[in-house]
Amino acid sequence: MDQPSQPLLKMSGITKTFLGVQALKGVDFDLVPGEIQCLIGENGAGKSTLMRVLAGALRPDAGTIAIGGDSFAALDPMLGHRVGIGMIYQETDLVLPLSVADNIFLGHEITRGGSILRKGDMRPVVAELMLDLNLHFSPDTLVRDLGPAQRQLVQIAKALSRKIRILVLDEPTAALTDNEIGYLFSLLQRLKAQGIGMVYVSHRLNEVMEIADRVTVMRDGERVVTLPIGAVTKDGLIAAMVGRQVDTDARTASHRTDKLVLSVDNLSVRGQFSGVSFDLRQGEILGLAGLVGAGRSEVLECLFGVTTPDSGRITLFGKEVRIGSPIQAIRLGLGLVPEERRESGLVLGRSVEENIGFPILRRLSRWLVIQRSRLAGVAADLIGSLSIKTPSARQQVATLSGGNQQKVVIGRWLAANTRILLLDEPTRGIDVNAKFELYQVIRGLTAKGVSVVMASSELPELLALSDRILVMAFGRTVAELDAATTDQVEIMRHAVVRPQETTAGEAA
Amino acid sequence: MTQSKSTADAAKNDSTGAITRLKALFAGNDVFLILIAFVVLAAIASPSFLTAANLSNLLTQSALLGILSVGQFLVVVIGGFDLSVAAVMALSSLVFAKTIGYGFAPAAMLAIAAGAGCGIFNGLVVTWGRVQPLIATLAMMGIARGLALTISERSVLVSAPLIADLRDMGGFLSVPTVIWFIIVAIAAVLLASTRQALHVFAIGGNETTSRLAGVAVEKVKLGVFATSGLLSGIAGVVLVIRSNSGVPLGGSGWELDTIAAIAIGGTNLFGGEGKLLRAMAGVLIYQLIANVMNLMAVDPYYQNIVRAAVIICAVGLSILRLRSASRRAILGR
Ligand SMILES: Nc1ncnc2c1ncn2[C@@H]1O[C@H](COP(=O)(O)OP(=O)(O)OP(=O)(O)O)[C@@H](O)[C@H]1O
Ligand SMILES: [Mg+2]
Repeated sequence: MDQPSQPLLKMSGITKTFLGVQALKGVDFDLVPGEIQCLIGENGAGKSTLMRVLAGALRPDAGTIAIGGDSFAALDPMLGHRVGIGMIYQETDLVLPLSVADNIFLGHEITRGGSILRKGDMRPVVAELMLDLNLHFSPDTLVRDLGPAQRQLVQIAKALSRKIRILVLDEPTAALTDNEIGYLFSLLQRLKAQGIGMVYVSHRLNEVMEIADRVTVMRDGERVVTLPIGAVTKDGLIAAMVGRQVDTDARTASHRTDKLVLSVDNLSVRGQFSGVSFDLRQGEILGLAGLVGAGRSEVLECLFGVTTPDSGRITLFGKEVRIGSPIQAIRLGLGLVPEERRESGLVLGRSVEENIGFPILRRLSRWLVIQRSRLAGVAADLIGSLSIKTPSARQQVATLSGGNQQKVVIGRWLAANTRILLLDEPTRGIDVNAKFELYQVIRGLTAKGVSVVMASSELPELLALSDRILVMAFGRTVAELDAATTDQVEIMRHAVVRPQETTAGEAA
Repeated sequence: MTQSKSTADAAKNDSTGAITRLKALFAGNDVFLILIAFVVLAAIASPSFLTAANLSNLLTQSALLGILSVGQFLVVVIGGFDLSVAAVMALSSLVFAKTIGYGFAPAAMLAIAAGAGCGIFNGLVVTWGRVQPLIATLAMMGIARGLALTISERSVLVSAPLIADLRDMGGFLSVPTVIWFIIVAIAAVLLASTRQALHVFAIGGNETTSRLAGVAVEKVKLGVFATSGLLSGIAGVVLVIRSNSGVPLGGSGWELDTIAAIAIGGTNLFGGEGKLLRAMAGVLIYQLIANVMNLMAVDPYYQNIVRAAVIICAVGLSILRLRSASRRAILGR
């Protein structure tokens, strides 16, 4: 791009206030055809709000949006689609009880006479889109039965099924693995060649450096700067986002002891994973590596009593236990931060404070009455230590930005005096600054004797934080590596290999 | 060692495979299986149950509730409740009975239009007025019942010979039964093939997503409430055919019966999910229980208790089914 082309999009002076919170303060934003512009900023900076205004999901209080030759004071979703804006929302934007095909064509079905669905005409389009995204399941599958990564990809297919000039991707890779991200990126390159302008919101600076043409940094509802990618460095971006220099070293001393706290022996859940064995010591951080679908989340859910094992033994603090339900797991000192936090981890209609205090309400209560002041104290501590951005502890969780909602779930288990913390992709969707703070918090917990099992797709994070790394592939544990001596290449080598099935013939 | 273990595994796989297959069959058709089971039980319990006269009677008795339940089904799927279905039926039956002097067809049209009008009013209050469906239709229930009673405090006997003919017409399948079946057939086809029907399910499943996808949420909602009203209007006409009179207090309490019946039929009362034919099987199950208890001359007070127990069991079962359909959803909801 030597010549600045005619802008495809020009947003000027966009302002948006939510009940006292000024989320956008006169933001200007522009996009040219065939450009990938990355939008970054801390949790709560206003990125999603700006993009929602663009897609017509929110009405701005002031400002104009010019697309092509037309200028609008506000869009609505239908108008947004008509002018060619495709939006992939940060939170799952799918109808769970409907099929993949129905979701993809929702709102722009091909019909005869405006009414009769022409399923035969839609099927090939869906099939082609799914092929493009390397999705190999039936378009009739219900979205409810898909995992987070697949749902994310279906959301992308849904946006691409329309005629679009602008594509907004709000943290599209948060739920994806490297492989899937690779597919997505090559797809974005193809769209770029077609002249589609793209806005890419992400907290992953490596991705930003890889695909961006320009980067826009937002902070506290304002645009800080927009720069061509050649003119930025990662540290520079972080400094611009946070407004100061950040210590980005994750590695700290290990607090691992010799005391065995959890021992899992030959654990299996039919159809999910089988023969999983490992030990966990007090103060240890055990990393779980593997591709999506390798069974990491399923192992964590089983330990937390969400599913019951078909075979195998769990020994907790020297006693063999059966964990039949999450309630029992919590009583035994376990805590789980699940992968899909918004859906499974939060009571969206209640306040930040109540969500944090949820598992410990009994402890905070006297004669069934919750002692508000004690709850407020616990919540205030965690809001501070996780830097949760919220107008107050009494704010409804549903109104927080995506990343801040995740911090609330993590905060809950930190508050619960958990002895074994199960973390499923803990830093997904969390901004860099908070990420490093979270690493410190996790380390701090191990110093107090808490043990951690952490599944993560970010290998650098696993390597920096774990004492040992357990690699899973196709529902089995395939390797146990010492985090100090292994590297990304070795982990991936184990993660992609299908373990040998022990068939009767082979064993003989 | 590996060998013996894997053979054991294989054996286990086989037996669980059969169980899963059985489960799949059951999960898909449980409502129909329950219906058949109830028919068998009823035949054992009462010898007069499996007679053509009684079965024909059972279908006729189910027809009104069935027609109303089609409308209720649509409203529940889109994420609401229509508490006015029965009252609107009563109102429409009176409109029909009072105007039949002008001819059958004009009176029927007027009665059905009155029902549709009530439905449209419900829809406008819900969409424009942003009133919760439960409250909006509760108000309409009062209005329609009140209007019906204003028109006449007592049942209005109809003396048109055509009505008597329609009442006596038909063999095993009475006129009300046939009308019910036709409505169900049309509705089933439309539900399976139209964009609007898909949007009903989409809105019930996730209203925000539907709105963002450009679905005309308000229009679809209005259409659903209007359809429910229209069906109540038709039910009013059928009520007159069946009972020879317009009945101001007709079908009192049925608004909840329709909800119970479609819940027995596996309709998700939170919206977004359900199958019309299963819902209709629910109607039959619901009516069948009443029928058998009448045949066995069970005390009406006990009847209420038994019916309540059946509702709880059926709804509990459908929740269990939802759970096993997606184990992961336990974490979700
Ligand atoms: N519906 C709402 N009601 C009240 N406040 C809101 C609402 N939506 C967003 N906010 C507030 O607006 C601010 C910006 O939120 P936004 O979702 O745009 O952040 P973000 O930059 O996308 O953050 P993240 O990286 O966490 O996704 C936050 O402080 C948030 O709490
Ligand atoms: Mg966001």
